[in-house]
Amino acid sequence: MLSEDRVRAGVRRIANGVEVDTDAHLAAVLAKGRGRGDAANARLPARRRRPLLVPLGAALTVAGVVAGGTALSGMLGGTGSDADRAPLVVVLPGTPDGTVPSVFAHTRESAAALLRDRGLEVRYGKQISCDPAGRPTGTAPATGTRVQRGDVVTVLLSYQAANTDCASDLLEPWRFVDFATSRGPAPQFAEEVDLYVDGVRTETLSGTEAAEGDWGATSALSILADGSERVVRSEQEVGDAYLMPQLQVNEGTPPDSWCGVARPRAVAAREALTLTLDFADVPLEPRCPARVALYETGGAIDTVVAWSEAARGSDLEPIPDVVGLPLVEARDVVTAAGYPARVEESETCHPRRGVVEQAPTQRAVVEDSVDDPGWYGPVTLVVEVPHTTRDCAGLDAAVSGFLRFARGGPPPEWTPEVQQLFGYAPWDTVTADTADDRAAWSFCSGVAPESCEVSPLVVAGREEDVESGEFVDYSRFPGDEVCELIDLGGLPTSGLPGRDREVVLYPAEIATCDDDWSVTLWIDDSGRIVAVNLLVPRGSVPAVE
Amino acid sequence: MSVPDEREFSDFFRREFERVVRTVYLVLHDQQSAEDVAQDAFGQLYTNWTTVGGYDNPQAWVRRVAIRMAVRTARRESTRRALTRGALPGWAKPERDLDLAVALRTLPAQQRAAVALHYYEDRPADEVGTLLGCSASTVRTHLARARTRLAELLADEEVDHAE
Repeated sequence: MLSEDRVRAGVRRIANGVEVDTDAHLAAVLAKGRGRGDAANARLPARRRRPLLVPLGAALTVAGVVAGGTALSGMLGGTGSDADRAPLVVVLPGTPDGTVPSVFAHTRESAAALLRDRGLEVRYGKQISCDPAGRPTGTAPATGTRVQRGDVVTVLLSYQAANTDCASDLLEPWRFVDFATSRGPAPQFAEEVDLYVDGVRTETLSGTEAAEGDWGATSALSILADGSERVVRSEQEVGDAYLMPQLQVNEGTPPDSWCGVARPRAVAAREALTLTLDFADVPLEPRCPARVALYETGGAIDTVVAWSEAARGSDLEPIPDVVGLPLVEARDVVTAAGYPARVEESETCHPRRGVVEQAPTQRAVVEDSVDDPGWYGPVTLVVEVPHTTRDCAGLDAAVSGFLRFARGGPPPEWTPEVQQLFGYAPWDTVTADTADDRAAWSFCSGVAPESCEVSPLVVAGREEDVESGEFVDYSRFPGDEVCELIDLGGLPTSGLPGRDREVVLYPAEIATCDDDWSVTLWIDDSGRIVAVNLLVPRGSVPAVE
Repeated sequence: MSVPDEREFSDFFRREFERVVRTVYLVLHDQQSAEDVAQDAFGQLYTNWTTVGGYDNPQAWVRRVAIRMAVRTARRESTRRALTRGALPGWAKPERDLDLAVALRTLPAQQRAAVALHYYEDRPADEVGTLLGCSASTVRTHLARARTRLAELLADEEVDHAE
């Protein structure tokens, strides 16, 4: 392993080479915070905007742009003297009988069949749209217009003129909607597909199962299918007006939360194709438009995250502090508070009982309230379990032998040659016979061992309570202090057993950093000590520094 | 709504901003992205300064926001790179301590964050765990794996040069 000092020194060299114009950044942050000028477009120093296929926050709207819809948008927004009076807007599962139904999300064929079922005569027209060519974009007369049997309704089909400027190919979003409404084939799925609804993982399907389309009563498919049927009715003085939904498509990382429900942690900040069914010019609150995010790897959908129209953030209970409780009790307490509990097992030679750590704590969530408005994921409970791969008994025996020797007892078992290291740098190599001599363990040149503080036998021998393990416990450090020990680097990369044969000894408690030290033992498969490394506090050995 | 104390915020900003940029740089290895992330984090801090400014440890708050944004960005970048093999924007920029810098980039984002917070910012494992949202034992594992991986890579580098 690379020495800590080498990593620390290298990392600092790299980081300290970064020079920053702090005042320019400060001015930018203050200007934006105060909302001076056009804050949304404030050009901040050294900021690079990455272009997205469709920028987030500027969703491409790809349906419901029929002539009637345009007029309706104006009415919904209010005009002239009516501007202050918000129209009564109602979301309905469909248009009433005797009116033109919504053809949103229909194919040319299914739209025609829908209209003919209502006794209407079907013709076709064209409308410029970014939808895939030939897809219905609306009707004339518009959705919700009162009609009688035998009336002619023209289905407007999308087409792109030579100068039609569309930002993105919308085949894939519509293909998924068609699949959801059982009007098209399945898209390509990965071998396993994780499904989430309103923040909860509902199922993991095989790719074959996903393609069959039976995802259950509340799923991304049913949410899209139901959402596609919706229309909005706005009561106007001139009569009711109806509006079809629109399919909004975004690429990029979906927002952290939608309708109060956080994006699942499992997808982290992965980019997704996000489909939202919404109505133009209709205020969001208190509705929650249906939304589905498709996560793909190599063109195959592996995760589908859906937010239903019923999605609501709940009033979360504080995360209980369960460190120290038995695991079963801790799990019950966490679950009762409404959080899934996840258990992380940490292998150690000397497991402590109960939950030793938890993540997150309520305090951490509160302090992080801007980054994460609440915690919707599982609470990880860390418990310690006996090591399955480490030879704990053999290592413990060698550690005990070394400590006995340090405290004046007989020497432990050494390999024929023993490496002595100070600050992870080679100090000397001695024979086993020499290692038996306590004088050989003074790392002070020309100083008698009893007068030398720089000796693994001295530091370990005088300590009453010595801990040992794979890692030093940094939580022992006093207050916020970080105790640094002398690390000269240069740990030999060969000749030492692997990490599973390495044990570090350190004082169980320290009052100040001057009390800290560590001794690392490398032990061979026969339980013999191969090498010993000593770390002592900075400042304790001026000659070395 | 109360107005943040700009003088107090500015003092804090001047004390901490560069260090946060440097920490984030160790995760992202792209100075412009690091400055973007740090500025966004301090932007959030400014919005919440009336509350967070009163915390015992506002620098931990802004670091937590910045480091998580950085890890998310790094993961997104690594996914993007995996999907568009070959083009590695920003990788041609000359750097200091090149061998270690290159080796650091091969670590997973969370490990890089742990290395930055522990070895650059000198934070103990439990504090790093709080900042990263994981346990101290996980941090120790990250650090041990990072050092092992770096040792392997740098040893390879030395062998390559020797040849």
